[in-house]
Amino acid sequence: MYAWIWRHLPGNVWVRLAISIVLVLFIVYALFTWIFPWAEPMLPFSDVTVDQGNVNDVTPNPSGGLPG
Amino acid sequence: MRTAIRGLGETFITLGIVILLFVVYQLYWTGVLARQARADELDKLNKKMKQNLAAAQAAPPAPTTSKGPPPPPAAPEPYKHGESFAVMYIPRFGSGWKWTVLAGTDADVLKKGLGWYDGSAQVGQPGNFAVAGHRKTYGDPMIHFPDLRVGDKIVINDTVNWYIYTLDKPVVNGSSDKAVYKTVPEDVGVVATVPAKGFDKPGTYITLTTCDPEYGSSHRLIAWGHLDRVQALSAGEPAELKGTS
Repeated sequence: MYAWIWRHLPGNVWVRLAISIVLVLFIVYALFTWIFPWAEPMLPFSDVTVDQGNVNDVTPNPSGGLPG
Repeated sequence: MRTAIRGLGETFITLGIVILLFVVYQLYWTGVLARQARADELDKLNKKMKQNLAAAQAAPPAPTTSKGPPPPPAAPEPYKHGESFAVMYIPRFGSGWKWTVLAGTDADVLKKGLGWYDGSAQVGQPGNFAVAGHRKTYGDPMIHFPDLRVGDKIVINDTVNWYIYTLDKPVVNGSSDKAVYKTVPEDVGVVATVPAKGFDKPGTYITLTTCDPEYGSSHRLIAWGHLDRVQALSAGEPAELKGTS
């Protein structure tokens, strides 16, 4: 795959190297800007609330709770 | 055949690098984003604070701009979802610990700071002022949550007042001086107006929630406190923060 990309880039070695670096930087940027924020909710680190949107909508659950 | 195997190998190496980058994003980059957001929100709050102070000095006894009957004192305007309204300090978490509190607890709000449970009491008002924060990622605001002890202070300022809360012992904690109560995510009674297992009569309370374990979400950690006192912003920084900042 990488060899195929390298063969199809235009120019001499230095031009190809420059294009490669730009490509890698763009991919990393795309990952940090779009892909990772999209994937993040599938991991559990963001769940910090007790399950509800509005505290007035709920009736307390007397059986809930695990002291520990 | 050889090309196919090489392609497979390259794919796996690429996946490995992407996963490593994702770890960097979660553990480091989210913190950078959260600190930027905090700086922005602090700027906005400081502006509002200066406006309020200037307004208070310009028109001390009677508000001249209001039409009709004067507004009732100390009834704060409702918080706007996603906007910051206060700054929280917890000296137990270190002298530099300072996060903005925004209205709402959805993921986008919690990326910028601590989140106020919609519908819970406003800061300093009777009822339960409930706030959630990230344990890990986005600046790790609640990373040291298990260190909280009974009697620890939580200092909050909105654009008008300082509010000083003191942490209490959860009813269920026996002889321990830990102010932390561990529960399951479905235990929504902990943020009720009179928090179940925290208090048995109405009052002016605060509830903090975060997730547990650090890298998971199977449980929640809860801490409760009550309002000690309120002082005007113009009275200066409360003694609880002196020597820490």
